Amino acid sequence: MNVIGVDVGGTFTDIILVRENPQGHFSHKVPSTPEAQETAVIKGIREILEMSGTEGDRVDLVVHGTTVATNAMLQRSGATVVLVTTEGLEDVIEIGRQNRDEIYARMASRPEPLVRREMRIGVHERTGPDGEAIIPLTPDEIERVRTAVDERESDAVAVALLFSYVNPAHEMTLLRELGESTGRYVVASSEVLPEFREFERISTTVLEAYLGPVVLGYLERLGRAIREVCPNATVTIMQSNGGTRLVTRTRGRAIGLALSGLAGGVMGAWEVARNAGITRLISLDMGGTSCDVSAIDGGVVVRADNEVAGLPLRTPSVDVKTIGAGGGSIAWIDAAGVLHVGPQSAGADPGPAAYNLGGQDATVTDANLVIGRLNPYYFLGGRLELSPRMAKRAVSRLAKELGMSAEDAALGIIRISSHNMMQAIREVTVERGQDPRDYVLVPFGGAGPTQAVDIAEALGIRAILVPPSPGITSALGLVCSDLRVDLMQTVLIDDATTGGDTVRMTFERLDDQAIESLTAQGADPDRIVLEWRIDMRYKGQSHEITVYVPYESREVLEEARRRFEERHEAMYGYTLGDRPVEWVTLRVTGTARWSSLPAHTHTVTEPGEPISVRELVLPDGSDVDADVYRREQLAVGQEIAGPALVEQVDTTIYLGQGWTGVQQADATMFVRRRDS
Amino acid sequence: MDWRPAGGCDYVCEEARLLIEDPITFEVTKNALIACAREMTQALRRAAFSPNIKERRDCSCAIFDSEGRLVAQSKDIPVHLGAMPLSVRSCIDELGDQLVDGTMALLNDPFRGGSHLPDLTLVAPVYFEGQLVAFVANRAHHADVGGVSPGSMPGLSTDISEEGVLISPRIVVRKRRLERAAVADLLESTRTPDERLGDLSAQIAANVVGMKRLHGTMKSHGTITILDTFSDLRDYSAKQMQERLSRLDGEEAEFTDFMDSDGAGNWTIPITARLHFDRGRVRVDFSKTARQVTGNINCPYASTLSAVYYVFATMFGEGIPINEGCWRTIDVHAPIGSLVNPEYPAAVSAGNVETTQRIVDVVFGALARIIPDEVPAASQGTMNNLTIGGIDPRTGRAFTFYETIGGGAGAMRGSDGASGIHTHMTNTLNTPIEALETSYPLRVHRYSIRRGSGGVGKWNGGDGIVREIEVLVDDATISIQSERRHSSPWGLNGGAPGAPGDNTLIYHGRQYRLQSKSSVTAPAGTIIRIETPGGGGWGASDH
Repeated sequence: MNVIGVDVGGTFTDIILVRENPQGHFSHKVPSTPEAQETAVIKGIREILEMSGTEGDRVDLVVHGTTVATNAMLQRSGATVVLVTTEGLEDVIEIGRQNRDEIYARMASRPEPLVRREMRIGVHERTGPDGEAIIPLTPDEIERVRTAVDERESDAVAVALLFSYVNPAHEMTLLRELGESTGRYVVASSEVLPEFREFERISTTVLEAYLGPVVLGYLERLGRAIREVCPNATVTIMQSNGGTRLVTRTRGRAIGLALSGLAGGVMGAWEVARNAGITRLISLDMGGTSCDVSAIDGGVVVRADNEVAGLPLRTPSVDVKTIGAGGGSIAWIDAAGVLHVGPQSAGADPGPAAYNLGGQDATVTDANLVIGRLNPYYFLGGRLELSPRMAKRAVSRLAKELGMSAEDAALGIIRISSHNMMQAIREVTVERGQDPRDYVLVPFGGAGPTQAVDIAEALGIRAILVPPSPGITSALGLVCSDLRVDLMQTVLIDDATTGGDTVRMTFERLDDQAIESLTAQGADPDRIVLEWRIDMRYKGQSHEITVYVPYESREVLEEARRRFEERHEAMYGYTLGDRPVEWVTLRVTGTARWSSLPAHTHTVTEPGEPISVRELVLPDGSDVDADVYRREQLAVGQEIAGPALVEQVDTTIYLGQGWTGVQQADATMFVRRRDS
Repeated sequence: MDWRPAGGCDYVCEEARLLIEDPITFEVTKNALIACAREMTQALRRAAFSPNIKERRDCSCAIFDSEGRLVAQSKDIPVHLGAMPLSVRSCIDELGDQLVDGTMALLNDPFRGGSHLPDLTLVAPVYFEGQLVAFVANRAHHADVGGVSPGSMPGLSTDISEEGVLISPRIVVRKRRLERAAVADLLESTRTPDERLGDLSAQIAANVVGMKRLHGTMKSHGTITILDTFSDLRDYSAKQMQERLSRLDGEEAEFTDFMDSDGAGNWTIPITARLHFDRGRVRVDFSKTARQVTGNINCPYASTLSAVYYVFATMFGEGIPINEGCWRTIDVHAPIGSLVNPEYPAAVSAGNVETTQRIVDVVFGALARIIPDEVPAASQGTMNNLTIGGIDPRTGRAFTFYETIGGGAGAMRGSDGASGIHTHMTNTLNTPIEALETSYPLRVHRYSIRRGSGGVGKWNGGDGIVREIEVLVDDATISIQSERRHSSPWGLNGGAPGAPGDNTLIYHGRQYRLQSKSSVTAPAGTIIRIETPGGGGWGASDH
């Protein structure tokens, strides 16, 4: 099977081709085209086919990670939406949860709703908490709503009624009637997010309507263009949940692409680590402007409560946290003389001062150059020459204000930037009751491996796994991701003796649905893997803890209770033995692997010698002469003791004092503290 | 007991020369402490049982040094945060050496650092390597702590004993386990004891999480570094605050505004604040404020402080870490026995939620006389506290529902005020209608923006909210504590005031207007309609 992965980033679009016969891995980068992402995507695909001498009609699968949906959310550039909701509650979307973003601000504020007041239509109907119709939905009322929708110029309609997650009858009627007659993109909240809390459900449904036309339009154009180049290829798209889906099956699921562009990196790190036998890891994708972190324990964590650009996103998404910390993050000093780094970034243009393209601000990249971690003549494999003089000038300006040497200021910049990333990691580990020291750090992106040791030391992490090609790990994640469906059903059971049958029957039904959906997308039924999870809480709580239960386990409820109490103790320090528990929502995840990729291998047997020696400033401020190696010259099993630097085309690995890196046969480098 | 903030002028002036020696370690440890408080809040919300905490997030967490001075806080509810230091101080003063490792102390006493009785504060000493290094504390609003009406927020109380069980600082947790006997009075008084136990467990969880995280921070950075950071942080904030306040050195201004009523026959009750800026400090003098009143709008001293601190944090604190250092530059003079520093046994249940909003208005109002272009017009000036209690026929058990309702924010030069939002001293979420109707025999008919209620101006004030809730059971008690039903949130520089709020009962199509403080028993089918005030406008309208 020949597979292409295309990952669109803020600066570059990365393309990877994995070819079976003749076997080979190829990778390529082209500048992104934010106005029309498909332009760079198609250009990149054409070029990599040419580079590798592969005919387009031999490509079987193209997997794509896109930021089209993310950008529409960030820039508020989605479709015009009409909201159809229960009468009297038209303003719920505007009031939100009635809280403000900042507590000490002269002007209270929160994000603007995506639907203006005059685009909201109240429906005379009402469903009660037990699903009973309190006010029936009459044909006259349906007609009135239809007319009201038609009178408004819009691309899409969101139907979101009170208690539709208990009884969707009214919503389904409106969905059918409006879908047939208006020709617009119509979605219902009971299909988008069948969960309680009306604001979150309404706004998520509106978001689906808001993104749908944009995403479908893009995928249609992209699909057409890809068919011209690769006529035999199946085209799939990365979803926020870390699995892929056929582009032809994204209708009603546009919101599932909200984090499409971030999920590839998480999946790539997981793939690399799993092949190396590591199952607990923290992925750290540090590029030019941002850093994405995710904690993985035996499988990528997919959570339902997320937020993008102030918009609640209650749809399964990889648990990835993004912060404004990259190589281009700008260092600055506040009025009281305290140093900060980011979140503003110098981007690619003008970029760090060292790019010598007019950038004056000191960035993380400049700091790394000043203390000797980067080779000015081998940045991006030598494609961009860095100016140590400009970097030093920018850092010195800050240093003077701080009353310290340029080297100390540079170390400070790196320390603060590392600390910001450390905080992000804490949020995805410690705040979930996990100890980061039990994890292996997997750094990638162009800047990740250069600061991995600092971050690991700050967190007490003792092992680091550097992927074979850190710069294209996200694109790699795309080609090795599985087809995936997430299904859920709220059951709300509070009695283990009577609930067992319901749970088993519900799990079996969800299993069948998952298998049906995956086989319809071309999956081999024998390769489908199903996982079970249950959201649980003590009766009376309303925030659940999700626990895994072994697939087809016999005593499902008891097993789940045991695991729930373990997690509760770990997170909150106590359990309430005498209080009943509730099994709230059953979740089934179905995945199917498209292809087994040939693993990376590293076959060098002759140990590589240092190519040079460079003066390197260590975190304690002392200078050493550090050996500099080239990654591709290292032999399998060769140990490099820090302080040392290992350069490769797409990154530089910094090995700190006390750390040793070993190049491995699977092409990864394993870095650990020597005393451990 | 002297509740004045610690530290005098000379101390601060000396500290003004302070330079953070190691700015990088400082930034790192500062963030670690804030993150610690934030994690506490998350644990509290997620583990909680009552809708008021788990859905509305009516709770707050903070970290204090070993003397009870605020070090770092989470981004929660302003009226809690500014008042918690006195609670911690009160535990230290009253319990001292009894606060050994593994203990936690509970209080709600408004005359000993508490605010009103439903706010239970749990304080835990943090020991590291055998040494007392810090305190962690959290405050959560419990849905019922006894008293004459369900929800413990009676509309018409005149004595603290009518408002629930009074808990002076006492140890209720040993070896990190709750001792039920120590809270027996609370469990006997409350209408919902199971829920109380669940929420108290969540409060313990929050402190345990805070302790663990502080231990981790001390292990990785060293105890001395962290303790140094405690004091550096305060000095850093004090220095920044002082620099910003010094811009107004020599300025003086006074402003008076009024509470609608105390619910006990007193109307139009004045609150006056006089500001005097001097050498980077500000004195806020409430000498001309009314004496304490019969009704329940008396505002405990801790809550008064939190309102004053809020204004200065908002006006001058941008980017400054909030801690005791900020407060060190502010002297609050609130005469004992006044509305803003009442004595036992004053009724106080609305003081914390309503009077604090007016204190904010008068301090802003005085500032507007000095720096008119920088101050927002008055916001809704109330929290619109609504409590409904009774017996749920589905379970045969008592229920108490409590919520506050957002309103219009005041406009400011350059921007309109936001609509339907919580302003100033609170930032609780609403109760989702689907949670409310599932948990209680209530039905929400309308939840909308009250169009046109914001004051018109060059920049308009935000609109209030209309919320209509039908009671589905007989003999439900509806209690309301609200303000700005008679007076309006003022505009500034020619901007019009916002519309006052309104409370109405609707039964069989007939409307009955309710006072701003009310307590009524209603039959099934009654609809309570709350219309919240709009915010004031800023600048004269061109039209």
